[in-house]
Order: sequence, then structure tokens, then C-alpha cells
Amino acid sequence: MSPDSLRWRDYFLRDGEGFDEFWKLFLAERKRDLLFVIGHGFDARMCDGIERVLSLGGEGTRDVALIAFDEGAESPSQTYLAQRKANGERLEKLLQGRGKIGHRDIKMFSDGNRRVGARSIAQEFASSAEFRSYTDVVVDISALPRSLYMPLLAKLLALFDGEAKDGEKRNLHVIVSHSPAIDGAIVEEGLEESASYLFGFAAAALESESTSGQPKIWIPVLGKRQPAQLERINQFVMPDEICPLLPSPAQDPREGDSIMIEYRELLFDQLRVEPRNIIYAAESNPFEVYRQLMRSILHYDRALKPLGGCKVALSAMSSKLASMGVLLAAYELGRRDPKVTVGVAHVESQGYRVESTGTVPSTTLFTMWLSGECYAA
Amino acid sequence: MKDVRNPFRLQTAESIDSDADFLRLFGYGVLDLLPEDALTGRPLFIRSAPGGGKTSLLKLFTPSVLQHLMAMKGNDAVKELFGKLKGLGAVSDHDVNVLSVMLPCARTFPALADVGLKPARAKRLLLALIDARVILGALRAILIARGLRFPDDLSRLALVAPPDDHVPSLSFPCDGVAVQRWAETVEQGVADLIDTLMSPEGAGPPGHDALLSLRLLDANCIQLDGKPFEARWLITFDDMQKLAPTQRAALLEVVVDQRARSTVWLAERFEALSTDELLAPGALSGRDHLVINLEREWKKGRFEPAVKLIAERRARMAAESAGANAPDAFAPTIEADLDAPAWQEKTQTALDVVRKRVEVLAASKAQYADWVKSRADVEGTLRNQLIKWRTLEILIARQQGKKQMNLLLEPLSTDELDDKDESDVRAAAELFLSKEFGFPYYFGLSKLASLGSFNVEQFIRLAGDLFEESLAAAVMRRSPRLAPKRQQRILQGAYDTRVKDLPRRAKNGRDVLRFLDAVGQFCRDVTHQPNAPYSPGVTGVAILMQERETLLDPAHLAKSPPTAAFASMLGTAIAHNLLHAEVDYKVKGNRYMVLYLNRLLCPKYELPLQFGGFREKPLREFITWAEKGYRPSKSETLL
Repeated sequence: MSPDSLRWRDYFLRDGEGFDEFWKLFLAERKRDLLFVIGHGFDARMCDGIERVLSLGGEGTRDVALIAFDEGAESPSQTYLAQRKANGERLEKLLQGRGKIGHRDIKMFSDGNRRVGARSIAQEFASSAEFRSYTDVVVDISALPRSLYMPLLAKLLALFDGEAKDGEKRNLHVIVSHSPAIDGAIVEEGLEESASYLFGFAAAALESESTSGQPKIWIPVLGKRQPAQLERINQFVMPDEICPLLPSPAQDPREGDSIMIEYRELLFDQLRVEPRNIIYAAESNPFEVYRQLMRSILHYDRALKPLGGCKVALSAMSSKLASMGVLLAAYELGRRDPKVTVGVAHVESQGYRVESTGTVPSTTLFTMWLSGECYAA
Repeated sequence: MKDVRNPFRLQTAESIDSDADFLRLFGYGVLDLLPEDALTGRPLFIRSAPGGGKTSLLKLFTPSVLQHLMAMKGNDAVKELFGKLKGLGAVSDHDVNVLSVMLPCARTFPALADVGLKPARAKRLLLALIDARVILGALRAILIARGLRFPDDLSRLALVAPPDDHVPSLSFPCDGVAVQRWAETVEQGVADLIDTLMSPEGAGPPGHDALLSLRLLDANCIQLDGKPFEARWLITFDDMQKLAPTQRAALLEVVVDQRARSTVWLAERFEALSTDELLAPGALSGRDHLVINLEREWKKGRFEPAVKLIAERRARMAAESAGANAPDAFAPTIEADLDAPAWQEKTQTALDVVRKRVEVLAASKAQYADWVKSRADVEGTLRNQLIKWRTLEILIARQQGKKQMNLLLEPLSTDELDDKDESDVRAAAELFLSKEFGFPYYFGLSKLASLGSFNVEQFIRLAGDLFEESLAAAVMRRSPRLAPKRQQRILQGAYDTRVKDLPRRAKNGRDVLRFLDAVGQFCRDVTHQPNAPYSPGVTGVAILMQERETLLDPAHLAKSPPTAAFASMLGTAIAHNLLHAEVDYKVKGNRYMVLYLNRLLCPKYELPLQFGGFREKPLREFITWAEKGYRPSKSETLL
């Protein structure tokens, strides 16, 4: 399979000033009805994206689907209820006279106290009919946990792909307020005992006994301070081959080295990873991560096809930007013909704790256009 | 095989690449814990904390491992293992007698519970999925047992209809290829149902009302080259605790109701706050099943020899891999002698201090004259003398603390001293000496085994930490022997790497850490009293079994949020093996749940490593500890 056939070979990504330029021109082009899907979290970056887009003018509806997710009374995130409330108030102010806020409560736990947030958020947006009155859906993942925005985006892509077959061209954008310093200060607490495959991608298919003879490749997209996650995902996936993906180029040129040093014992002593298996991709370009993942996975699939093929588990343990690359690769490969069985292995956490950064870190807005007009043939 | 620098880092059965390596590293001591009739029909529950060795035990009985064992049976490395398996009836001199199918319950089954199907449909699909996997596993097992290739030789197998059953979507007779295709279809159908982003309504294969696979195996319905393949089947379910409660109940009900001839083993984590339901009236009676609690069995003096064997096997593998760059045995790398010349000066100084202290204490109290005199004549090494003097100091402190002192103050005889001078007091004396004079306490193979807390994985991790240092020394052409002090420092460091970051690694981790700290401080306070009242020390706490019931009662928990929070925290601590729970412990006419600290925490709180010493407390006091931390009461400081 050649790189030409990659769905997001040609992609649309803008950041910083490019973010403003794009949205200004895009909104000025014609009347556009926008639905923002935003997570109602404690992250101060929650409203950065919508605030900027609203400030760039344009005509049309500006509504919000506000995703509320309660991680439970014992979640460390409960410490930041005041910040969460302030974010909600900021959003309400922004939308005053501009549009409506629709509240969506996501059930995070089943009656048996099992985590079902990923399944719930996908079910929350049951059909494309919900989006009929909008030309563009903009998902801001800044304050959404990975276990929610990945299945949500997979579901939206699936819905809009289904519509595209009927000639509809609804645009799906993802925006994120990116700051490695803030991301590093937000620490997951209370990890689940074991990992699981995220709903929205191959999950049960990866665990099939009838294909248990197929080698399993695991590509963890590594970030710092995730040793427990790495260990638990490894125990869960039980891979035959591990190909860690490191950020390079990165803002800190030694980022990849630092990560390797941090995980040296686990990766090399315990898991005996072959150094030649290491993959590199640009830290702040999700499409580059996607491209590197696709190249590696398709290579393995092609090489192992005569032996019955392979199964692939991806893990996003890095920034939200990099995790978008994981999402795109897993989504596309699961829908190819013939499809490749690709799942996203993940460890849920009880909540987050914010460590002090000392100074106020700068943030950069990124916008990714995933489907719609610009990809139409 | 990939090069293994430090084989202690291969902690789980899953991380070991080949069956041959697995056999070479397998510590067969765990087989001594199985009942003799473990393979003869009754369902067997195998319970332990995580890392207790359940998965390794199940893996041992898988066809490829047993076939490897047969091929290696003449090899010294597996001779004893072979003998033990022969004793259980799993193998005979020339053949494997048992064929097992191992089903990890964490795979797919729990996700099926989340789809939102009606209970009856969910149960039928669960049984269908188990059937598909068991039958597929059985076909694979037969081919492996006969040295044939899977899936290439599937056509040599056939499945004939059982007398009074049918299997949905499968027509009998059919060959192995058709059976495999059927199993794949069932699995794929369930996978699609679970993974679909759209509505799962109406999707999925037809379900099963019973475990049809067990009936097929019991009736020898699988044929090889046209002849019935007779085998003793063992079906093992690993990680049963991962199933949703309704799934676990459904599976147990079916397994018991069917009374299959095939043996079923159910391995699950022991969770002292939830496992009871399995044994509730009406679920299973004692006659229907066997239960092995690995920790309880290890406690019967079996753990230390078993883990020593494991350590030696791993060290040998390192030597085979690295040659002169690795020690070829583990025990000699762990120095355990405080009588060595390097310690003489320090010991002499301590002896002078303790002896003088006791003599001053006894000088004004004539009743201790004979006791002191007897110590002056004590023989043996300097360290032995030191311990004897420190023991005497404890015994005098005890004597002085007695409320009803002998008014006549007659001299106490040396016979009385001998009666009181028991091993537990000597152990307390050793602990006190280490605290006062800085002697290492946590070193040597026996203490290392104790620090393993009856958990094989924990032992291997700790031993691996020590071995890592020996390996480095061997590479530098230095002696790989680790001095006691260095051992202690490494073992103390294990707390920092395994427990300190609990808030990140576990749910309610911050609360768990606060409670563990409270228990640790309490134990230290009680242990380090001058009279060592619970020698060698207290390393656990207990609540009445009636109070434990309140922690399991949903109605009570709904009414009392602090109790609910405590129950949740305690569940996490037990699940992560930080507290070792013993339920139904009878003492002083009451029944208790005893919660011992994982031995890994003992060095942090300067506690001994023996089990047995605990103090009971009301539940409300523990809840206060969990919320606010430990504050010593007057009675504890004035023991």
C-alpha cells in the first residue's frame, strides 16, 4: 500500500497565527452554522478555542454541546470544582446573544461500577440527524479526557463518513489549546488496575481466540511520567513486538532521550525492546504521527500477511496532539479493505491533580480539519 | 531467545518468551499447595493476591508446556517438577495425561457486560463465547498433544454430535476446519456486537443455554483420524474477578449445575471484601468445590524454600546467558553474617553500652542479681552476647511493669529467665538493637523471603533489585556479594519505588497511603515499647467480623458516607496487596478480620517481618485514622 492511499496524506493543520488566519477567512467566506462540542472540565484552556473563533467574526449559528462528565465523588478532580464552575460561567458569557448551550451528561460508570464513559459518549450522539442544522462541527478536546474525545471523534467521523456517501459535506474540525508545560502539570491520579481497549476502535476483535496465533504489535506513543500506564498496558496487550514512538523533532531536542532514560529498565531490561524498532515523529504534528504509525503498521501487515497477518495495539501516552495521530491511524485502518485490526489500549484514571508550574505557561491554539469540504474529491 | 540480562525482571508468566524458559524458571513449590485430587473433577478455586502465581500455575498445565516438559524430562532442571506433576497425575512416564484449555476472563467477557443487552441475552452470549473458545482451545490442545500442527492438521479432527444436544449453527458431524470456522464466526459476531459504534440491537450470534463445550468434551465427541480422542480435560478460567458480578455468578451456576466430568479450575484474586458471595448459601456447597488460598498455604512454612528455588533458577539463567559477567547462584551473593570481623568493633561498643545499662538497672534491685550474673557467663559470639543482654533488658522491663509486684522481692531464678527467654523476645531484641545502634536488620535470604509477603512476584522484584547490583559488580570484576547494609538500603528503597507513588497508581491511592501510614505508625509505637509487649512486634490490626459485615452492607454504606469511603479505600489496599487480609480469625472468643501490613512496609516503620502480632480496634477508630491520620492514645504510649 503506497503512502498515496492514506486518507490524511494531504491534511489541514494550522496553529498560532495560522489558526486566526484560517478561521477568519473560513468564517468570512459564507454563512456558517457552527456547533462546538466542548468538555466541561477544570482545565483553564477549556474556553480558549471557542473564545478565539467567536472573536473572528462571521455569520451563522454558534451553539455549544457541553459535555459534562462526573468522575465520581472520590475523584481528585473534584478539588477543582471552583475552576470548573468558572469555566462554565466564562462559556455562558461568551455565548450570550450568540447561541445556545445544550448540556450532555455522560454516564461514566455502569450500575456495576464499571467504566462506560467511552461507550456512553458515542451513544450520546446517536445519529447524524443531530447535526443537520450545522455546517461545521468543532470539537474542542482541550478539557476532555482521552477516553472521551477519542471515541467521540471516532463516532463523529463514522457518522459524517456515512453522510458523505449520501453527498453531504459536513465539516469536522478539532481544536486544542496546546501547552506542553500545562499538560505536564496535569497528572493522572488513581489509575485503574488494568488497561483496556478503548471503545470506538477494534477491541473485542483484538482479543479473539481464533486469531490468537497472529503476532501482536504494540506501538506506544511515549510521553514522560507514564511508567505505570506503560507497564499496565504491556501486561494487558502482551505484545510480540514493541515499537515505541518518540517525539522528534520536539520543542526540547532531548525530549526523546529523556523519555528513553526514564523507561530504560522497563523497555530494555523487562520488555527487551529492539532499539531499531523505535519510531520518531514530530511532537506537534498529529498528522506526522499518523503518517509514521500508518507506515509502520502497513509494513508489518504486509510483511506478516503470508503468516496470517497481525494485530496492532496503539497507545497514546503523550500530548493530545500526538494522540490525534493515534486516533486517525486506528480509525482509518479499521475501515480499510482489507481492514487491519487496530485497537487503542488505554488505562483509565480516577481523575487529575494539577501541579504548580510556577509561571503562567503559554498556550498555542491548533486546529485540524478532519473531514468535509476540503477533502471532497 | 532474546538475551536476558537480569532474569528476575521477567516477573510474570506472560513475559517469558518460550515454554522451555518458562519450565527452567518455574518454581515448582506451588504444586505442593494443590490437593492430591486437584485434577479429578471437583471445581477448584485458586485464590491469591495479584502476583501470587496463579497464572503461572495455570500456564504450567497448558499442552505446549507439558509437551515441552516431556521432551525435557531427562534434564536436571525439570526432573523434580516432572516428578511432582506425575504425582498429581498430570503426566506419566511416556505421555501427558491431562489436556487443558486456559481462558483469560479479562478478554472480551467484561466488555460484553457493558453493551447494555438484556440479562438473559447477555448470559446466553457469554456462554456461547466461552463455548467457542473452549472448543477452539480443545482442538488446538489435541493437535499439540499429538505433535500435529495447528491449524494445518485441523482436517484430521472431527466433531460428532453429543447424544442429546445440539450446538446452534453447527451441523454434526463436521471436521476441525468447520469447527474452527464456526468458533471464529461466534467470536467475530460477539466482537462486532461489542465494537460497533452504531446500535447493537439485533446483532450478534445466537446464544447458548449451557456450557455445551463441556458436554462435548465429557462425551468424547472429538475424533482424531476417525477415532474418539479420549482425554482428561482441564478447563481453567484465569482472572475470574475481572468478570462482571452477573457474569461470574452465571458461570459458577452453570459449572456447578452441569457437574461436568472435565475438571474446572477458577483462578481469582482474593478480595476479602467481596469474595464471600461466591460461597454464600445456595451458591456452592463445600462438597461441590475445593478452595486453595495460596497465601494461606504458603504460610505453612512452604514459601521460603519455594522462593529460594525460584531465585536460584533465575540466577542460573543469568549465568548461562552472561557467563562470567553474572554470578552463577543467588544465595552466595546475599551476605547474612553480622559476626564477621567488620562488625566486631561496633558490636563490642553496643555490648558495652547495653551491658552497662542493664547492670546499672539491676544494681539497685537485688531480685535481678542471678539473671545478670547468668548473662555475664554467657558464651558464644559477641553478637550472641549482645542479643542475650538486650533480651535481658526487655525481660527486666517487663518484670518491672507488672502491676502486682512480688512484695518480698525475692531473687528471680535463672530457670525463670530461661523460661522467659524465648525466640520472640530475642527477635524483638535484634530489632531494638538495629534501631538503637544502626545494625542492619533487613538482609539475608530468609528476611528477603519474608519481605516477599507470601507473594512470588513481590519476592522476584525484590530479589531482582539485589541481583541487579550483584550483576553490576560482576561486570566490574568486583565481588558480587552484597553487604548486609547495602541489602537493607536496597530493600528499604523498594518502598519508595513500589508504594510511595500509590496516589498515581491506584484509586483512592492518597487515602490508602494515609491509612497505611497510620497503621504503620501505630504498629511502630506498640512494637517499640521498652518491654516489647507483643514481641517480636505488631504488624497488623483487626476489626470484628461483625464490623466487616457493615463494610459489605450496601444499605449501611448508603447511610454512612465515611464508612463507604473507608470500605472503598480498604478494598483498594487489599486489591493492591498492601494489606494482607485474614478473615474469620478466632481469638479471645471473638472472630476477626486481621489486616497485616505488606512486609514491604515493615522496613519503613522499623517493624519485624513475622506474622502473628496484631491489635484489634473498633472500626470507627480506623475510619478516623483514614480521615485524619494516626494520633497515639495515652494507653498506647503507656503500655
